[in-house]
Amino acid sequence: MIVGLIVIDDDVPMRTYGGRTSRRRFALALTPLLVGASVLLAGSAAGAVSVAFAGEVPVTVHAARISGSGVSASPAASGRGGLLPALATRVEQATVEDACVTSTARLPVVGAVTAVVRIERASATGLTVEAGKATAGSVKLSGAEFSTPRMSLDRPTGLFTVGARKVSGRDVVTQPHAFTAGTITSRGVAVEMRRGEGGCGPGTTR
Amino acid sequence: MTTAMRPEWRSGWRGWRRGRPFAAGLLLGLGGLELICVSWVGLGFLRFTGTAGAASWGLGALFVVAGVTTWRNPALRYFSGVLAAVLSLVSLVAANLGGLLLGFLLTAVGSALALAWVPQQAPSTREEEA
Repeated sequence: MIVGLIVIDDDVPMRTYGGRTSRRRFALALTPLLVGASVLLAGSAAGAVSVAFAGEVPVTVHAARISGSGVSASPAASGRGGLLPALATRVEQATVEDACVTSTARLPVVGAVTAVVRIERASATGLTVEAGKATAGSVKLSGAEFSTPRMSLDRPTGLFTVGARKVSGRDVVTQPHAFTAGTITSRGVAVEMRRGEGGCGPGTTR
Repeated sequence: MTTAMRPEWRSGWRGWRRGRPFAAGLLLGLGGLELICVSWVGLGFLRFTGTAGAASWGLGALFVVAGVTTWRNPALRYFSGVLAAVLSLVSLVAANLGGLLLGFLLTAVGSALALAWVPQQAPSTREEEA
């Protein structure tokens, strides 16, 4: 263990055992890292590597087709302190096709910048989405159930829960507050940055 | 008195900074905190943490530890640098795409800086030893 890298004398203000950064070593260390990262990112874009996500992204998701199994949804509150009412939906296995995700950020100097991510096909396991708003062109449920916990016949004691064995929908638009997924595997991802607001409506998805 | 203290304090700080891979430790710490922040902001509730949330916390804490290690004990910079390099690649897969790529970039550059740091022997060492 190196102790006392700095030597202080009375007559000389400071004498240090300095160090320097070797550019050659830096390049040698960084190159394999970036190569490895490129391979991982290319693999995840091609669907070979699953990428785990958890987070809150202010996005709007348009999906031409969605399907899921083992779905249950119940009202919840989202955001810090439970400020936003949301529908928390848990899906064991979800698949999205021809999806378009847009997120607009208002930056101080540049103005509004919109990121558009188009995904040909993505599947997720253990997906939990807290969404405040969702609309769909058509929804098909199989094995649906609706339950309200009750203590007596006329007084519900808790929040309702909607569940279904299988769900499929078309032209779905949702604005999730937060989401968590065990793994997300996607194929055919294209990212585009645009100036200004806007995004992709259901008609513009591929 | 304060004016006399200031240059001393400043040169002491400069000496401390030059005596260790400072930028490496700083970037590793910042990258670790960024990984945690990306997960923290979106948590809402802890029950929605999931595997990526837990991985963000675990990896973020390890990056901070690696950064502090490079500062406190520069002799261990190879160990902490290699550890951080491997973990930065793991974070790409396990923790929100490496904190939306920013955390990965910070920790990757930080680990490379830790590995590239070469201590210089002070010319006065022999005089003092003699």
